[in-house]
Amino acid sequence: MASVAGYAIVTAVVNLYRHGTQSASAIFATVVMLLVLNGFLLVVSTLNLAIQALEQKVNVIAYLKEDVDDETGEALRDRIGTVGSVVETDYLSRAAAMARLREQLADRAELLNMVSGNPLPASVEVRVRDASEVRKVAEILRAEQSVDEVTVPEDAVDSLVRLAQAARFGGAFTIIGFAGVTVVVIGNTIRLAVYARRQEIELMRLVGATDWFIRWPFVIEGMLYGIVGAVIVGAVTLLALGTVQGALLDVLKFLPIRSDPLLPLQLLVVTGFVGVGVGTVGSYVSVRRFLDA
Amino acid sequence: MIILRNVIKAYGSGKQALSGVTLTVPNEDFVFLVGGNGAGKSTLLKLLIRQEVATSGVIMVAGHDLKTLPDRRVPAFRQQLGVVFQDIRLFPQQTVEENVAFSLRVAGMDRRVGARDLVAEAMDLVGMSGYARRFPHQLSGGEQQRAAIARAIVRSPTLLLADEPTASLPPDVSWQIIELLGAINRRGVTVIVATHDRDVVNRMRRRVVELDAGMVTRDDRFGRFGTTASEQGAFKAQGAEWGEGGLTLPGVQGPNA
Repeated sequence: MASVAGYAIVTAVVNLYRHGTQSASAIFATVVMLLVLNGFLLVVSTLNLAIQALEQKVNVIAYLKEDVDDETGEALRDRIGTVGSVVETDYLSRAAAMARLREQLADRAELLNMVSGNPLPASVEVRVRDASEVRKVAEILRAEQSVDEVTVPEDAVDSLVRLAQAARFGGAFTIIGFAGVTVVVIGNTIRLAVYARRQEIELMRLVGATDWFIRWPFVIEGMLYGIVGAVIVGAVTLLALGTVQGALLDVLKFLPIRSDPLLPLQLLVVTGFVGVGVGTVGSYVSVRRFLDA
Repeated sequence: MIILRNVIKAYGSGKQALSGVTLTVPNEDFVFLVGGNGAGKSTLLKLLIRQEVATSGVIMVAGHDLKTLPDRRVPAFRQQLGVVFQDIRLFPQQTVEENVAFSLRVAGMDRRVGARDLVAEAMDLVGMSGYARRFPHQLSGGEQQRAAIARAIVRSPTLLLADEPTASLPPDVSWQIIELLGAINRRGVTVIVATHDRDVVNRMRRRVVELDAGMVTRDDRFGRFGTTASEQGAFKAQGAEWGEGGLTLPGVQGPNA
């Protein structure tokens, strides 16, 4: 067994070198398809970050009853902050609300003069992780005794929920679809490389080689196509990711998007799995076709 | 020993490539299979290496019933044979030495002590000792066929099958190849050669089995490519008789004896 494994590895490496044109074609196809796949992943990932940032811009505001003091308001703020989907909370006292209004209407003093006393209520402002959680948080706030009224931007929430769902499904569909195309293109390239050597396979059978004796070197060769392709794409990804992602974020600079620190790792894992997996399975399937003939 | 009994090979179209072939080839025999295009020579060889399976009839090769031989045991069966192809079929990306050694590797014999010697010996036998590091495209047609024969004999098979081994080779090279096969036969290997080459058959004067339209029409112990009716008459005048094994001459011990 060790002998066959050693033979298969050595033969695969030698064939990779000796069938240089076929190997280069298969590796080239692998590199191109994986780079495009990574591009798709990057765009979809950034789009999702943008949607997420938009979702977090939706505020739920709970206006407190007139007799509620600051201590109770702050306690409510702290309590609602522990809800899982809440990312940020803020308590605005009546005095702070008035101060904010004065600041906003600084150039319209006549309007402020019409106001006597402080008619503004204290409020708790809440930002949630995604728009679909907004109503749930609003219900929790409405159940509080100290809360007089809760406002939710219904239209914005509905639009954002639909947009987020469309973006997630669309993104997943695109990625899965393109991963499928990647598998087919790389698989077919390997199939062509194996097809060019079908007479070699037939000859091996006629001189008494077992199916696995024939298959192993091809499978390892396919795996090597994937490894070489994935290493190239991995290196290019690491080198270019910062620049490309920076350009994308620059387009969306009106949104507070931070790049996902796990993205490079995710891209490398996808590159490795798709490259090596498709190379290996593609070779196995292609050779099997000729062995079954 | 090869035994064929009433072997029929029909293809999907219903056309019979072999129509009831019965033939016995004892060990260490040398047989020329002759006949026109489509006579069934190549089909017969394909059946003998289990590249194809007979539609009906019995084929026994080296103790294996090829009709019932399971697919998983076909590689081990083929490892007992040596096969030389019309189109030579060396691995183009392997050197001559690697091509020859491949036969040993396939059979798991490459790690045995003396495996390299076996390769060297086979290459020496076919006169290719100095060509070990060359690739097939660097060889002439005759040299390529010699390398293919070395690959076929390196495992010391008891049966060597050659399908048109001299096709597209010049006459002098063809004769060298056939002489080489004769030498291998003298080492105790049963050799079956399918050929169109009239000259080499006539010069060798070995057993000739002629096929026509999928049937054995002639089986001469010491035949010529196309034995004419007058030549048959001359043989018969010397007391020759047609029997199951073909034409036999009195006092001459043929391979079937």
